[in-house]
Amino acid sequence: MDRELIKKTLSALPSLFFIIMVVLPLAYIFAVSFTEDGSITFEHYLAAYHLQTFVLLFKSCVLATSVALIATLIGSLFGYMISSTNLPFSGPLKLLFLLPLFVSPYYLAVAMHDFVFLLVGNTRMLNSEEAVAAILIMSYAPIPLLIMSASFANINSRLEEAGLLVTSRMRTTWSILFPLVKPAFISSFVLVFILAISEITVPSYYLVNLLPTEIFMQFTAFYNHKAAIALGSAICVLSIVLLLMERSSLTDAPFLAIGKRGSARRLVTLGKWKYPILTVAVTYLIFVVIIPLVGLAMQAFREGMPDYLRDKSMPAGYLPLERELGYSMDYLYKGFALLKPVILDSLLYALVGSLLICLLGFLFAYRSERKKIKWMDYLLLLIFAIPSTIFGIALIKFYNRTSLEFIYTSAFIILIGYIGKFTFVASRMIGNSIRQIPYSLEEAAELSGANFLSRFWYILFPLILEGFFAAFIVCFIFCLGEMATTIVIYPPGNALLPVKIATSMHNTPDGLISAMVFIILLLTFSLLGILYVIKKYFIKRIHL
Amino acid sequence: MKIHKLRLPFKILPFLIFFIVFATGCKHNTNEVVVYNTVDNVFSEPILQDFEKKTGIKVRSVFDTEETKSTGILNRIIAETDHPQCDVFWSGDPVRAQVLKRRNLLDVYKSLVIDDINKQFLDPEGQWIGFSARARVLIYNKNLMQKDSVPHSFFDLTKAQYHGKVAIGNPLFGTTSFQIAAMFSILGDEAGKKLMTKLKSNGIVIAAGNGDVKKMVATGEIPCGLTDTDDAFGAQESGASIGIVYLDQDSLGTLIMPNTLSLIKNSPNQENGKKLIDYLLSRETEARLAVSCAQMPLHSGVKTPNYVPSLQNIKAMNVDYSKAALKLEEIQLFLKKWIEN
Amino acid sequence: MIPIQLENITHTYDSKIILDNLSAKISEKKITCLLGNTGSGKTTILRLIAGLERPKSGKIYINNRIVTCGNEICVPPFVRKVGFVFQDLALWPHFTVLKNISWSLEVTGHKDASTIASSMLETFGLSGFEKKYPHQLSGGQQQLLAIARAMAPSPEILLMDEPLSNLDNRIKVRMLEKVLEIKEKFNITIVYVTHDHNEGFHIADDIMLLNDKGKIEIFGSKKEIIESDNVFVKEFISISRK
Repeated sequence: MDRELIKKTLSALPSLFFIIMVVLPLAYIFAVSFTEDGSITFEHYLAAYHLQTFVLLFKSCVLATSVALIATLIGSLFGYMISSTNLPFSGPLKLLFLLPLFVSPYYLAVAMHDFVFLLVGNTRMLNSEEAVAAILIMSYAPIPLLIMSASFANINSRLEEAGLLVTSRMRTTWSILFPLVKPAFISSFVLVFILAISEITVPSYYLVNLLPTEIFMQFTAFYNHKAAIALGSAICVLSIVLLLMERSSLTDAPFLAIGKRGSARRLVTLGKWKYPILTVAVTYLIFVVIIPLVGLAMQAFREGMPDYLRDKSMPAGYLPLERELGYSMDYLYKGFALLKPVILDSLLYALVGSLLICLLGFLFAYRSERKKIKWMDYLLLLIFAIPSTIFGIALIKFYNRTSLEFIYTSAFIILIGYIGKFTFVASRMIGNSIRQIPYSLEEAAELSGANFLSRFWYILFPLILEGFFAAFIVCFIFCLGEMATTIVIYPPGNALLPVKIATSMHNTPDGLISAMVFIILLLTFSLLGILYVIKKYFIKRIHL
Repeated sequence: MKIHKLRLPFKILPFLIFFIVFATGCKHNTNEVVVYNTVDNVFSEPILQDFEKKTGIKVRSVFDTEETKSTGILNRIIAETDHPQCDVFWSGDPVRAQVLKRRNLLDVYKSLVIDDINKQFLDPEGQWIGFSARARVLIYNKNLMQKDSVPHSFFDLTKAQYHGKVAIGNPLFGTTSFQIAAMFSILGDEAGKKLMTKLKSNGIVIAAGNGDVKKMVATGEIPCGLTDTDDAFGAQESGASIGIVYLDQDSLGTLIMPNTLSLIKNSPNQENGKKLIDYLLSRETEARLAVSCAQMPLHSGVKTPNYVPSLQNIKAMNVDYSKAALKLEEIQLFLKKWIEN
Repeated sequence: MIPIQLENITHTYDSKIILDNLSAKISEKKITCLLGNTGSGKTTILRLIAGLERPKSGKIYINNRIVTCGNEICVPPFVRKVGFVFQDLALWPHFTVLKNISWSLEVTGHKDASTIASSMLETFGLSGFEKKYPHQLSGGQQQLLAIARAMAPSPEILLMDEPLSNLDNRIKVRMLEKVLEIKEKFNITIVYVTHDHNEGFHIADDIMLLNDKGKIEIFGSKKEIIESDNVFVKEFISISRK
């Protein structure tokens, strides 16, 4: 009897932790948004919702839907080509495809702005919903690519071969392959939709007014927190509707089992389509990855104005007109010096944050997939969808009190911010992996007397490792680049990389900013390389 | 399908995680001061570090920037109302201090270091103190505009010859919003609105912020635009061929935007906060800011590089900053509509 | 002693009744075969006995000791001394053949896990495959491995859930013989679930036939069942014969 009780308590503990740490603060400010001077009122909501708001909501929805759909289609297409066909150079191509994930959409927007200007001489065409959508598609396409290629790679070829015996390749792909990857497709769609609908940096840079920018404006121009929260609730409602739609379109049918005698996945031969498809992929990469990256690198390696060249009695910039600026490492050194004090902290927080996120994400995904306890999914999605500034303000209002000050004034608050924002992503990605492992493997272990920890550590974890690692990497990158919430909550004196860059941006030369972004890219890459090597070293692979 | 097998060292991972989590805990100091700061950290951090060295008081700072419209800090101070964490608020312009003043979040502090600062740059109630200032200027691309055809007054921008040739930052935010509010408070609402409508129909280009105006002019996308002196000098430093014009020198004058310092009400380290404010208001700090980011000192007789303009040489717009800030709140809805139409 | 006793077991899944107030006693050291159409709740009974699922109401006794009482599991699965062979075999794909057996002993603290595992492999004719992975074995060998794993902790009851459904007929017959051999050798109670009455009649001592309403249609010795005039029985046998 006691055992049972302990078990129940233990399994509820992570959810409890999450609810207290993350959900309570949000519930608190939402409750407050219904009050004014101590009495209950709907005035903030009534004032926030008028025709104009609904128009914006509609515009935002259309934008997010098209971004999510197109990004997921692009991701599926290239994911399929890379994971399942004999497309040449698929390894390096995959790496390149994932690159935009490392750069925040804002930098991509800036790079694209410069590129368009070079090309056509003015950038007014960028001040449109289409331009915002294009940037967001480019930024987010790697996420579906990652999810979809994992999903394609896990399909047992026999299922496809069975189809090929009775019908054409096209029909098989359409009627066998797509239904099998549908859950992954819908997962990607939801993920990108939410990312797109809550993104503010790109629409505000391109001056496109959408619901999130409207919310942001309530903060920046009017400092009206309650109005912002009232508007933010629309996005929450929207995401819940989305999740409900997703649930109803996906049956919980057991999906994909590991073949007992799993045959190695056979690659589809592209034939005459091989080079046209390669050309399409490379063209896409040139626009989305190579050009922005080369632009960034060129700026980063530009010669800065060395102090000794500067005549202190003349206006700055007086001298360089005399000669062309060349290339040097000046900005990179300077950028590194600026970032140095915060690099270690940032990496540490992102590392710890993403580990905790994956741990929690796993526990929640496990409860959702195995125990069919689904309510946590809704909560995770809700918090993921809440605009970052609102989330940050909620954390301040909740944690900034004498009894909880030890959290608010320490690194814990940053970790809580990360956990709140990205546990949804981890739980989604890990959940997809868990779903592919037959439950009987764990039941067999349970009957042998293995407790939950051994079952997780020896049976499930090794089997979902690929997915777990992918989730970890994605969360790590997200945490490292997270700024919108971090900038509101970081403890005084603990600035992190993205905050440091943003707060240096205003008056520093473009080259220096590019150099800093470049350094972060290099840093992230080398760290991922190290992690990958560690993973390879510690893990022996068995090919089925 | 690939399956993995864990090697032994992987098993210590969980312990490692928990160790790191607890290691990332908190570090604290009692003799400290907390400053929230909207000035770029490249310029402000060295000054704060020197204060630390000289006094032994640990400075912990939160930075923000105009690029994120300073949402972070201001909303944070407002959200922290019930339990302030911040001692000193260092703002790049008086608008934000005024927002906090309106919400009754600032303490009165009359520093002794400000005896020779013009009253115009001090809050009459003593809730903010101005120092080192920027000016709102017009910049033009020397390759696209001849010196003699450059506009010299804000009102010139409505002339047909500048149709579609002028850029301005988003007027809902930052110093741009304040410049317009200042025009409104001097001209009156009627004339102000007329002016704005004329600007709009003259095809003024709205950019995301001052930084973008600078960039557009520097790259030659737009011949000229309104921005702050620090942006203008920054563009020149990057090698752009840019000229600077102080507008309305023979009429209204140029809008001067001082930095401001305020003490937050009920903050935890009031005494240290006052020490920091006094330090920042000193002539030395103004001299350093003049060198690093071309800000004009408000104290008289501070030595500056030649290219930094002096308040003795340019005509400052005679504006009541408190009134202009109030005006800003009034006209925000108008400005929002102005952008959207 | 009654190895397994079910008392008024009702089980629902998504408000659909799977088992309806079902009671039965299973005899010691015999092979009891649960027969019935797909969805008749055969597997559910097996999982209830193992403790992998909890009924809505009713009681389950193993060796006269109450193990499940209504929605409450009083004795956790691994203490029940039951072995389970899953329909999909549930071999751990990342463990070697030897590790598949020894691990399940290790987790409960058996000291000489690998010795027991080796002798188990020998018993089941899998010596020489220790270092191989499950997917490198043939279908029949995988089957044997799954049974060997279930038998390693020397359970008193072996539960088998359609373990032969993926095998061809020739191997199936050989495997059925093997099951009978195991029963003799280890002298244990076996509950065997199948939808194929040929398989059932081949090895069963007792047969429990479930109808589609979640109730036992008939339960008795093989002889009794064959001789019964029950319409459902006749129909079931004739349909599956076609």
